[in-house]
Amino acid sequence: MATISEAEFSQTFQELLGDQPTGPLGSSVAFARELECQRGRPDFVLTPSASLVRLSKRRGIADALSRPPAAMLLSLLYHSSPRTEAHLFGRAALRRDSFIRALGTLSEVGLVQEVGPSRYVTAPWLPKDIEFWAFELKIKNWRRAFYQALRYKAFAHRALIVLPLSRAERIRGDMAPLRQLGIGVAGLDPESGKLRILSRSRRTRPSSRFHHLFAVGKFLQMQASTATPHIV
Amino acid sequence: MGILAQHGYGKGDKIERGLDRGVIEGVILNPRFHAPDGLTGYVGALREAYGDKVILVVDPHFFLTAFPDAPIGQLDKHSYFLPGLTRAQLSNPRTVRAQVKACLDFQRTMPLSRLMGPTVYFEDFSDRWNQIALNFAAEALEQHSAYDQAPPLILSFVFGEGALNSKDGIDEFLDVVSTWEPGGFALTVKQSDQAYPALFHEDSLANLLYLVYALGHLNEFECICEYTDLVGFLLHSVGASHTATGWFNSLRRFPQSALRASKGGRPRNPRYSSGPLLNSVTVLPELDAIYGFGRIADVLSGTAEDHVFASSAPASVNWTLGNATLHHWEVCQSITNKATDDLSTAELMIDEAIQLYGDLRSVGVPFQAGSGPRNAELWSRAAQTFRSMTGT
Repeated sequence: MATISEAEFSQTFQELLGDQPTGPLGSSVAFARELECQRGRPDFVLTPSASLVRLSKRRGIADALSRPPAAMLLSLLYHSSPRTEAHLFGRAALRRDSFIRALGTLSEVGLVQEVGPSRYVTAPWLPKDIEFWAFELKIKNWRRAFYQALRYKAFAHRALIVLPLSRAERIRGDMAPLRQLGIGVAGLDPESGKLRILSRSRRTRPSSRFHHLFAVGKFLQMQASTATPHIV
Repeated sequence: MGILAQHGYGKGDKIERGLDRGVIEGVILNPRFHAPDGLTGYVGALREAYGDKVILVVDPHFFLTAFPDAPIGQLDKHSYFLPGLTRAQLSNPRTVRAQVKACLDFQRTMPLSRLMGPTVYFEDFSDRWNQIALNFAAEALEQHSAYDQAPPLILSFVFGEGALNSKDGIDEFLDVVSTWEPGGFALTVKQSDQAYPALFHEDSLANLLYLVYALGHLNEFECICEYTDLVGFLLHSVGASHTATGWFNSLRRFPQSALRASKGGRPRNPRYSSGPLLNSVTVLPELDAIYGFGRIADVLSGTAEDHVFASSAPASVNWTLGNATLHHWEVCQSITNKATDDLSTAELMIDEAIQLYGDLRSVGVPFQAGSGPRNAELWSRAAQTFRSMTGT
């Protein structure tokens, strides 16, 4: 196999995503490259969620969620059960001024509503189902990719590592730990541009609502700053 | 004999919480982070709240005078600190006398448990800076001897890890200081490895064990090791009386950034200190992976904070810096209590940690280099070298 660089490999994967009328999720996707999350920077993050598109139309949401204190505070709130300010402050572990600022920001953009004296809920239109798939591409070091992919499960519903197809097939015997922890393995043939799933990822809820909301904010920010919204 | 908090930026209420919980015995305060009135007030408040049993020490960090690029924070607001003194000035006996007096006089205004003499940083036990450090120490001893009812004097020595490469240099140093009669010694080592968890070189750790053994065990001096993280239990096993560690990585090993301004740190990546592993691992992904493989009970440390990991995936836990700090101190205290003055027990703990790492790796838990067994393996080898050196 001719040597391929990581940049070329990533470009091949991006072309694959761009060429598909639908993505691996069976619906049209938006994707982001090198999304800056709290826990690493996945090479690609995909989402099929129409909910994200609706969210992107609301002003200020992206910037609000991209601030860790606001994302942390929102992660502690629900629509159906109000939480008091004292409870939120105790759980959020933020400095008082950061807490006040975060609460103010979330209220201004409508993500949080006050339903009684110092009692808050999330807005009813806040989607619960923004699904992310995170991909970590590597030419060689699959163990490093595995390590990084594990981090992405904090915000993503699925995490996969993508290797050159020949290398992915060589690690079949080592896949048990990846399977056990739900990390998928895909092989990409750089010459044909075809992707083969060698081990499916397991869909799980993101393990951290805070990291998920922060990733939503970052994804929306990136989307807003590019001309081609489906590719950010 | 136990753990002290290494004071730094962003203390919040961590020190008080640590003292209330009994996981630290006191604190080494850094005037870099407190203006003079603030520091005096804080020491007074701690003394009033916790009485005589809390150990309160101020490390004057005088050695920063010789580092023009060092961030000195509030240090230059303190009357004893003159920035930018040169080697020539620091070699002048009048300067030494005046600086020692200013430094000790400042500390004597506070209800401290120990007085700490000023020092200069050196890279080699045979270099000129080491001689200056010895001059400062000798002067502090002389001045202290004239005090009436002053707290014991701790002589501070701050040096690069490279100084520990020469056992002959250490022996010459010991030949000098072991004839003195201070209350004790404080050692701060700037490790060559600036990552966290930092890795000593094997020989330099063995020589550090030897130095602490000679001072703390053979000569029965109080021996405080500052900026010392989980490796502290090994130092306690050979004679250290106290080790100090803080809440940021820069307070758990002496950072290069203390001597030279840095561009700023990265966002905190929460770590969990595991007593059984004798190491800290990242909450995400390492502890989360351990949980995923059903092995979390093997690595939990048994502290009051552990309950959050018993039933929830670690990635979902809000592992705040405050909780992580209290937990870390309790882990350091626990492993230190087991190993104090008992190198055999320390070695057994290390062997068990290496075994546990092997088990976890065999099921597929991925570890970064610093989170893995390399520290434990190196400590084991250093302990063996130390035994050969000392015949213990």
